[in-house]
Amino acid sequence: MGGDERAFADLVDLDGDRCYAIAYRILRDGERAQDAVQQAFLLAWRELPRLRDPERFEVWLHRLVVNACYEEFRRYRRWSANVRTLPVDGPAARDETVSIDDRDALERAFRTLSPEHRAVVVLHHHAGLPLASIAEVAGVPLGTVKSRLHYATRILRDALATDWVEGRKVRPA
Amino acid sequence: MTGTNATRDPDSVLAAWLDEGPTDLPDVTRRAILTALPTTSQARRGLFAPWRSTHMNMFARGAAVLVVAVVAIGALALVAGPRGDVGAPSPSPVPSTPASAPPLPALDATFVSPSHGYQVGYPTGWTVTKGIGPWPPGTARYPANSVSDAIVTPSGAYRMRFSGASIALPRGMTMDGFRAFASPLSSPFNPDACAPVAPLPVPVMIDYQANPGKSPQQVEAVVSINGCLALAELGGYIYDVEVIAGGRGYTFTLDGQLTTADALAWLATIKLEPASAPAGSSAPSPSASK
Repeated sequence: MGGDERAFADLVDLDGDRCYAIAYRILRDGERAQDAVQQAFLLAWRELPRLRDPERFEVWLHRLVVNACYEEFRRYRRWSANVRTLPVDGPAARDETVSIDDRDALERAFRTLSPEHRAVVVLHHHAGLPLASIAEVAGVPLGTVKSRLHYATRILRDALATDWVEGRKVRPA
Repeated sequence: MTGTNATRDPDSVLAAWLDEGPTDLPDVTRRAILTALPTTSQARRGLFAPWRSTHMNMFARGAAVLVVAVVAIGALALVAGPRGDVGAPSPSPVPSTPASAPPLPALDATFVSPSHGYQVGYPTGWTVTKGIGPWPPGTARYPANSVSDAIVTPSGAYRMRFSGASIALPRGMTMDGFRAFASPLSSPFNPDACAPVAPLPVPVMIDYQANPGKSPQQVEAVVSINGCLALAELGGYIYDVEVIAGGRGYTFTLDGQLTTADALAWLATIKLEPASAPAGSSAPSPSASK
């Protein structure tokens, strides 16, 4: 392995987990997330000589990951449209404060979102990126990020099914 | 917990739910990536490969070192996750959906370069960084390095970038000779990997004023389009521009969420004023640059 390949291997070690975590959450499928991350890193390797600002590497890599997720999503959308994928990647860490009902409702609602909406939700709520950074990663204007986040959040909140009153959720009997 | 009331913000429930799931890239995927590297050719940087490859490798290593540092500091503390198998997709480009680029704001302010002998319009409020110049002979110029002037979208929306620099040229240096070291990142545009881009008119002319008392002229620029929506670091096309006037070679880069019309509008605000550039370094002689 040459010097450049060793350096790139270090990048895979350091950023691979974060990229996979993002891809998994967008796609909700471990194998497809792995494919997306692999494709993104190989694209990054191939196009790295053209990167003009090293400080932009991480944003650029995340964009490649998100684009690879879009591609994976569209590749499998046709046959998976009516198939509900069960978690096969467990035992995943689970937050016991998220109820089974919440988990199920969110899973179902999330799967109705487009990959573009999913990406914004994941980058914001999971990766913790500010909206401006999400705009950079997603390659869309800031206003589009805001509208996508607003729409997706409303869908997911609605999926929680119930009334939130002053921060208190009341489930129907 | 099922069926109970909660007192948390729904966003926190959403965030907690998103945090569930694997967070470690499976080893099999790491191995698949690293195994594919030797057989995955890297992008070339144009017609002057021998000279450029040296800088390309240095740049790649520089990028790696910087990212290692950034990631080491900011990496998330991710918990261990499950393993799984992975396929081996071909490393084909991933065209993204072309973003609806916002219009380029009015170029109502003027930046006069103190180091490189030109002026250019830019939108009021954008971030301007003066290049320190002079451009070290024999080195590549990158939009982000300190030699170049840079004008970028305001903080919070890093989506467009202008950068420029110039250098005195030795007598007899041709445009090809200048581009050989000035535009190492230029490469033949590969439309297959990218969304369509509007063609550029030929020729593209840039305003030039030899001296303050002289009549303005125009000189022809060489413009190449590099990068594409899916792959470029700002998520848009990259317009590399080289022009020679008054014994100086100028190179400009416009990239990001720019249409061809935007790029042409921006280029139309450039006025080359080589006489105003401070004496500094000069490019290597044509024989040395080959």
